[in-house]
Amino acid sequence: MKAEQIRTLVAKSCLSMDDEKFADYLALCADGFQYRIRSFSPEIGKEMTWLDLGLDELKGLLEAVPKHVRMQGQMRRHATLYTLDEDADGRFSAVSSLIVSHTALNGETHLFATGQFHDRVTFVEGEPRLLARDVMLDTRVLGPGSHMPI
Amino acid sequence: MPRNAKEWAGVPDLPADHFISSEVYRDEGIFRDEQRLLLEKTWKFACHESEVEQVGDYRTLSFCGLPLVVIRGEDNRIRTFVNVCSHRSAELVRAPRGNARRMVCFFHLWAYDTYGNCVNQTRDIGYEEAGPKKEACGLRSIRTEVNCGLVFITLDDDAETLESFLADSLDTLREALTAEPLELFHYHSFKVRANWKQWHETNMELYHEWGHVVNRQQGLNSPGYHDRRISIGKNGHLSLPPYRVSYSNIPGWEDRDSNNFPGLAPGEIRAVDLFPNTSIIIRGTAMRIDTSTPISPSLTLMEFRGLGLKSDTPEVRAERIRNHNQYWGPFGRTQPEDGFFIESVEQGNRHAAQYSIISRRENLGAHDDAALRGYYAEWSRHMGRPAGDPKGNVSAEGPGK
Repeated sequence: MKAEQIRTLVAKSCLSMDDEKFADYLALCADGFQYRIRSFSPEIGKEMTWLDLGLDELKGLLEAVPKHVRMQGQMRRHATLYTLDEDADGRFSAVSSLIVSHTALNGETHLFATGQFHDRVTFVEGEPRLLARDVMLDTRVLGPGSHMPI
Repeated sequence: MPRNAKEWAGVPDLPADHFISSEVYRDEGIFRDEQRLLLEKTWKFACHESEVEQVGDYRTLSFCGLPLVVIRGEDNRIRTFVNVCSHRSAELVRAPRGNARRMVCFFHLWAYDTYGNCVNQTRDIGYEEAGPKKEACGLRSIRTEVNCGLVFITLDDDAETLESFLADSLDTLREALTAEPLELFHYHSFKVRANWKQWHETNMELYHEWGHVVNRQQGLNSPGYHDRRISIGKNGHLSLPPYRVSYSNIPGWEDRDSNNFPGLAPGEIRAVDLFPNTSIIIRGTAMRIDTSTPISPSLTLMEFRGLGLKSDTPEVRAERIRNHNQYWGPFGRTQPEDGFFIESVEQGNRHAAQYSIISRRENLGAHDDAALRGYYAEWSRHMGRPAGDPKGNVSAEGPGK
């Protein structure tokens, strides 16, 4: 039951961000939610952090998204839950494989990024909530970039 | 009022150095001349010295079509070689970074030391009769010099020294670059669908900041923004005088009161644009170096580095990275916008535009186009033609002024 709820949570997080329904996304997050995008750089031999936001700063970013000059078109996040482990503290660690595509206004689609979601999930009043999401990107060449979290 | 085709194509009614012909962005012949007359003749930022910190550390890059390897030698000196085996031209080192006391070709195992000497020809008895001896098979060396920890290369063996080329351009950044050892925490690249000069133009042309919502909320409103005076130095390098910015008016952000780079006041911005294609920008706690590598008239490899102090505690480093990413990196609030700006400009230059206007005059204030006029004066000096009329069309037609 909980596995299915968490699978649905991951799917809803993708759908709400795809549709830019930011309030819906934020409703999936627990207090103290931490969002990161990371990637390993062979050029410098280090793991890099490209975004590290608490809930307040994430809210600020999402509120500002419509004011930014940004990539036009539709992003689609395709996440498949691969592993789910219950931790000693009763919370869950979930790893999902991730592909993100972008379709431009002219209808042309290209692969934007691949990677994984490493999520920490807790249950609040019977509902799963994201405590932390680490987006581990394989793709490091992302064109000009994006103002949208993955 | 709208202009008809003839009016649209007409020479701007401006002084000759106050506009740029779109040909300088799109013409294949001009692009080839830029490689030959400008890019191969000037000094190009290759990497930071911390990227090749230990003896044998190497870093690969490509410039003007040449695959290159920057390596720290046994004598601790940093050198650059064409990354091609002298034997059958296979790529010599094949990773973006690594460590090798000997660079061994993976094809036939010829080997080279960190000085570029060929030290092994596999089964060298085979070369005794006809040659060549390994002493004649060294790697092609590329002139390399280091200033303020920045490693530069030039393909011109007769180019002026790096010190002469840079002149005093790094003076405002010298303390930040040299007071303490630095190291990279960020590197990313992408191929922007635009001419190589356009990113650098955007770094120099500060009124594009009106296009950044974040800059509209803070930098452009900071006291003294328009009072500072840009400084155009020798060889086309540009320096922006320091000024201070408040960051806390962005929701979730804090002012940069501590852990600023050495020599900088809290929240201070300092920036230098080195001709022809490298910029160093410090926003208080975060430093960015960006450089471009032209691939074709309309395609450019952009590389971005973020640096901190090697002595940073984990907490300070995390703050520095956070501050870096607020503006820069692929998920920053301004850097992606610069990419969208110049890709859009490229489309205009390639398909529709005839001229770009660089005629703003604000007594060398932050929004004065003197920065771009200075850049293109230097470009013209190398290229032997004005940027407003690179193919001699205007002089035949007669300029506006």
